[in-house]
This record gives sequence, structure tokens and C-alpha cells, in this order.
Amino acid sequence: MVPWTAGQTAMVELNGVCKTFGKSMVLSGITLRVMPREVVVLIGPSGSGKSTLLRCMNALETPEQGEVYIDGVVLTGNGEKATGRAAVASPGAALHRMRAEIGMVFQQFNLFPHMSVIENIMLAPVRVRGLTREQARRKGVALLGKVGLEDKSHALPSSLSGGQMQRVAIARALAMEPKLMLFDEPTSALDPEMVGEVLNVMNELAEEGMTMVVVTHEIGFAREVGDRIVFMEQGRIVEEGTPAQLLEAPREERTRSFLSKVL
Amino acid sequence: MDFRFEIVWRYAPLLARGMLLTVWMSAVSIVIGLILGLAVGFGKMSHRPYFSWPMNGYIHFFRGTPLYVQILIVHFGLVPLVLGRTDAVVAAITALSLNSAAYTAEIYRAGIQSIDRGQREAALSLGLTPWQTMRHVILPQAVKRMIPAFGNEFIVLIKDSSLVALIAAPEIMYWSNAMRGQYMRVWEPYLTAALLYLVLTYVLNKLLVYVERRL
Repeated sequence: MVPWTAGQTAMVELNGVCKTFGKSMVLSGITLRVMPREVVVLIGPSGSGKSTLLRCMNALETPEQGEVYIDGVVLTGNGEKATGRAAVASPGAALHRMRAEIGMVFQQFNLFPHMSVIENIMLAPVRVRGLTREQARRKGVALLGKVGLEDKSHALPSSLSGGQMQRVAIARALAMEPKLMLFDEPTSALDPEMVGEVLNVMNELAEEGMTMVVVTHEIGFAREVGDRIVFMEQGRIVEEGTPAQLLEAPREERTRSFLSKVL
Repeated sequence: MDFRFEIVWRYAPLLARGMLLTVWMSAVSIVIGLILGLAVGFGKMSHRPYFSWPMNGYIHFFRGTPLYVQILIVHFGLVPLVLGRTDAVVAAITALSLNSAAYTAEIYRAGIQSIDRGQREAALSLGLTPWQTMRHVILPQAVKRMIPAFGNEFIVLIKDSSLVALIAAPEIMYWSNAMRGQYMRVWEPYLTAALLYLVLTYVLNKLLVYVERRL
């Protein structure tokens, strides 16, 4: 459990974030803080905006209103709190530098199919961090060991199972030594027997103190690994709390009704 | 139908030179078309209307008007305007390149847009710039998908290059027409021309299949 220390800089801070797609409001004024070393799990029905919220945390989506801060630095928004002016993303170079610090794992893995496993992992450390290929390779091999795939280094992604692909995707993100990891339904595209191997890697990561924001339908994972669970519906945060509070004694009727369907 | 091989034989040196010119004009036009098409294609995909609108107009013009008309405009209009006089080979290469660029631009665009959005997002999320994302992640995958379409375009270009006989660029069709004029015969010049084009497109096709397999 992470103590809520006053004065500590939040790893992620969202202030009144609003996002619309066409005419539909996907996020209506989200305010949320994630502290360093904290694991926050976003749950909610599909279409509740939880994935969009996660994508705002590395500027894959740019909110129309509100600000997103990463480790105290503005990622999107005009940088002054509560002004309500339309948000803009950080200028080019700053944006890429900030994204390099934020790992993201996608539902569909999004491995680069034209590269071997080790090349997938080496690409960003070489191109973004300026590591030599040898340094990047050593790091990649070590990370493959960590996710239990040391023998797959030269395999092509297409020859891997879903669970293996997702573990490579995690290793690829970790190769940038991020200070924050975002997981967008990392097990939703997996066959049931492969969910465990991915959750185990995430569990380990959480134990090492990685700051994580996880969108998932795995309530079991949320209960065991999450420090805090945030329940969203229709672009709003309905309720948040520790797993014990939110799962065992939800205050809101909507939370209760959602949990009754998924538990 | 009797077929007089000795006519073909007498014209062989001229036809050979014509074939060389066809190959040379087509090769140069393919290369210029590929480079120009890349710029036009990226221009069209741009979110900035002052890039995308002119490029869109370019593509519409060159795909929507006959190459025949374009060759005449370039030969009698554009080339004299720039050089002060016209030149059949320069005009031919210019017209073929400009025309080809419109088609290759669409091939580039379709190839790039066919790559799953998640690829771009994954690369950006790792901190790659949009340019690095294009260079290392999107293009290597897209080019592979573009090759069959480029192959079609190159073959069409070789065949369409026969239209420049119209402005007296001395390529295969030019000499075939000359042969018909001299001997008043139909089968020998045109069947020979057809065979020569067939050889060119066949060889190119084999080459492309080889390249596609290698990638």
C-alpha cells in the first residue's frame, strides 16, 4: 500500500480532462492522481472511457480541456490549472522525450511483425536513447529472461503465442526504463490459459515498485495487485478506493450493479 | 497471311535502338515517378490543407485526363515554355513521369494507410518521433505490400510509353510505324512491336517476382 504523502509529486495528475469523439463526450471532467509506486486499476463497462483516459496519459489522445501532468511536467494542456482553455500537446521534441519515459502495453500487443523479438526490444533504446546495438542487445536479453522468454530472442512475433507476444511487448516497454507503465486491457485478447503468465509478469513488476495504471476486466488481478481501484462509467469516475473498500463495500449503486455482473 | 521476315530483319537495328530508348525512357520515368509520387503521396496525406489540396488536385488531373492529351500538352506547351524549344525524349520522359507519379502516390498512400494504427501507436509510445516511426516501423511493412501494385504500374508505364511515338520519340512504336509506311505492310511491324513489348513486360514481371520473394 502506498501512503498518500502530502507534498509528493504525483506521477500522473489529470485535471478536469474532457475528451469528445465527434458529438459524444467520452471523458467529462476527469480528475485523478497516481502517486509514484502506486498501482491503479481502472475498471468499468465497455465504452466507459477507461481506455481513452489511459491513452490521455501518454498523449495518444489529446484532451480538448484539462491538463495532464507526468511527474510534475505538463504533457497536454496549457500548463495552468483550471483555466479551461483548449488543450494543446507539448511541442514535438518534448512530447517524444516524455513518451520515452512512459511504457505502454496494448490489448493487441502491437509488436512489429517485420522484426525479430530482440529487434523489437532494441529499436527504441537504439533510436531514442542512443544505446549501441550491443548495449541494447544485452539489455534486451536480460529483459527476455525476466519475462521467461530468453530462448525466443530470434523468433518472429508471428511464431509466438498471444501470451508470449504480450510478454515481449512488456519487455519492449521496459527496455526504455520507464517510470510509469500503462496497460490497456493487456489480457483481453488472450486465450484464457495464457492470461496467468502475463498477469504474473505484471504482478512482479508491481512488487518491484513500478508505477502502473491498468485497464482490465480481471477483477482478481485488481484485488490482489491494485493499491487503488477506480470505477468509471459514461466518462466519469463513479467511485474509487482500495480493493477492499470498492469490491467488498461499494458505496454507489452503479458500482454494485457492475460488480454483480463481473464477479 | 504471309509474313516477310526479311523486312523485320532489315529493320532490326532500328528496332533495337527503339527498344533501348523505350527501356531507357521507362526506367527513368519509373524512378522519377517513384520519387515524385512519394512527395505527392505524403502531401496528400498531410493534415495541412495547403499541402493536401494541391496534391489532391495533381492526382485528380493526371489520373482523370488521357495520357495522350498530357503528352501533347507537355510536348507543345510545357517543354517549350521551359527550354525555349521542344525535345521529344525530354517531353516523353516528363509526361510519363508526371503521369506515373499520380499513380504511385496513391500506391504509397494506400500502402501506408493499410498498416494497422496500433503499429504507429506502439512506436510513438516508445518515444520514437513520427519520422522514425515512418522510417523504421511503417514503411518497411508498407513497401512490401506496395510491390505488386508498383509492378502493375511499371508494366502499364512500359506499355503506355508506346504513345510517345505520337511526338516522334524514336522508340519501338515509332520505328514500327516507319516500317509500315515504307513497306505498306501491317503484320510485320505490329506483331514485331507486340512481341518486343511482351519481352520487356515479361522480363520486368520476372524481376518483380524475384524482388518480392527476396523481401
